[in-house]
Amino acid sequence: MNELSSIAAAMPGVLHGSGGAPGIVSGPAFVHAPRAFATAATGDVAAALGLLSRTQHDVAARLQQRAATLREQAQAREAAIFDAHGALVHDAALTGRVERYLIGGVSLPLAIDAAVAEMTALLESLGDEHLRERAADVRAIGEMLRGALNGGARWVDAVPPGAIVIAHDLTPADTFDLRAVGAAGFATAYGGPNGHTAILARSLGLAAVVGVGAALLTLADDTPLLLDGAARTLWVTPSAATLEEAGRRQKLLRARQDAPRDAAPGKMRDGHEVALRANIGRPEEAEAARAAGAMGVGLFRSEFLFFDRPAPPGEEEQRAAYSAALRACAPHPVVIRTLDVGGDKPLPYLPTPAEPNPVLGTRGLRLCMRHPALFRTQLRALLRAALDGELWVMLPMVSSIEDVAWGRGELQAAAAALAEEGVPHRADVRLGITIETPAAAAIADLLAREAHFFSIGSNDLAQYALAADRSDGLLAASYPAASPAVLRLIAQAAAAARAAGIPVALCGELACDPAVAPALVGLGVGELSMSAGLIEPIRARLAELTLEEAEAIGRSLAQLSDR
Amino acid sequence: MPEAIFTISHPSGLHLRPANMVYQLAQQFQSAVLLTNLDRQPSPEVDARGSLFDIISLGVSSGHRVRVRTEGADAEAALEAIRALVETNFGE
Repeated sequence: MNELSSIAAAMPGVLHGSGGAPGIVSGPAFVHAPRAFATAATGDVAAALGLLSRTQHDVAARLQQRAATLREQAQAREAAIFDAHGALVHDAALTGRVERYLIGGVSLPLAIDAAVAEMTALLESLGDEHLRERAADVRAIGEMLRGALNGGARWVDAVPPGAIVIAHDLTPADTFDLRAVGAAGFATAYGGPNGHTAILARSLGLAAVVGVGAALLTLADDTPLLLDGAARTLWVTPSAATLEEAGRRQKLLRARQDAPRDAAPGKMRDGHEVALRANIGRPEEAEAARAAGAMGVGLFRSEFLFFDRPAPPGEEEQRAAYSAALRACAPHPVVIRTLDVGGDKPLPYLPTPAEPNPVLGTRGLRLCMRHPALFRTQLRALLRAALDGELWVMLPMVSSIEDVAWGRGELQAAAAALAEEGVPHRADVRLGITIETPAAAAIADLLAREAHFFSIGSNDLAQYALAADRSDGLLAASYPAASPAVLRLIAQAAAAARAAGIPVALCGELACDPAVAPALVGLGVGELSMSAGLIEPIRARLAELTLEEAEAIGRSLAQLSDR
Repeated sequence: MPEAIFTISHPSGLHLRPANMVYQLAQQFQSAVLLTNLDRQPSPEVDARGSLFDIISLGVSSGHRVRVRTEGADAEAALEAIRALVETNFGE
């Protein structure tokens, strides 16, 4: 960046992003320039192991000091806990797992996280109260090691409360941590509206603007900022008048989003009810969804458990993750979508052939057909977790009756195997499908006989129906998802579901657009699922209308003639 | 190979502190100290010298029976040391 552009960016101005997470916040900039873990770079396993060993030594030494202090105070029992923690820091089970991840090409901090996650999942899977506490011990050791890496704290610990973080992009872990340290919000130069970071920020209720562009990175620390996530806008050195106006909108927003709410369906003016559920990617988000008043989870993207690691999660680890989400939401349902990856969302350990059209290639259920063992492990974990709540299993990327039949066959086989082995599980879970291909919408009446529920994935349905890449901003603007073609497919699928007496939900971005959500309800969609932070605005919008008015909006947007 | 079965009577089972005592004790011998939880299926057999975490992950709750097998030059002494530890209820 040259001098001129940095002066320009320091001047009062307005920056716009491509997406965001709602919330209005103001505060000083905290610029995060990514610092690579120089000695822990991916690939240099020996150097990373050396750093791990020194870090283990440092952490264990500090624990020994604490133990010694306690012994001086005649508190031998408490000291013994620190002794045990000191042994765990050096434990071969931890070191061995970290090493395995390092060899798999994962950086040291991530390798520690992954090893700790594996170990805690193992302990939690044993279903014993005391062992769950041991899992907390292991987690604490992971945190101590990560904190001591690079000779100090995590970078997020340096973020002052109330600051707005400016970064190239953020990892999901950083996003979690930012909320914990009390950051007011964040803005990123890169990343899109449907990236993990934006999705997580919405779930966590952290205000954000993403995809602002490289100009963002010229900002200096402590520059006064105002951020409006819903408007995808960042004001640099805002005027007093701008701040005052923002303060007023912020108060209005807060008034609607104060204390935790009871889970309740959305109610229209005439009393018609619409179930509002949350989209999540990690089990931890289920708690936030519940606090936001969600009637359970309408879409748990299970693939989030499979990203950023060298090997797929095992049956125990998956079971623990699904159980946690189910327990957090019970008695409301949690719709868990089975692994939905492919050429456009590749996993390092699942080699996918180069495909000329990845979104038309081996993805979703099709990929699982190529890797039945991986799919079977997930189904076993799901059926075992089903004991802990109301599980609905959803198959993605269905375009034929044969697809559903294969999925059901696999589920039944998994249940039969568990029964044979005497492993506790529930076989009577609901099995539904995503309606995201035009093919599925076209034969919705036939699929409705095979599925227990439909969930319309409007992002992919729009992309496939309009033959327009949704990551291409220009095309997306020319062919919006809320077009008559897409809305008519949605209406057709909803009508088929209603005729068959099965629930029909919609879990795409359309559900959280206040201008479109009423139209979806009017066209027959019974349940809407969205990021937890967006439930309240939609609830408020639905409350303003009767079902009849919503039907009129639906017919109008779909350009259907009046009956 | 010397072998014995002990019932763990501590109300918290083989929790963090006693597990660490077994781990530290095992370090003092050349012999492998192999533990299996007979009351949890399936249960692996772990070498108590190798890893405290492995001992914890046996998931030994109060009333569970643990089989101890020792193998090596000082196998008898190792087994007797473990027996003494269990019989004094880990010093509690």
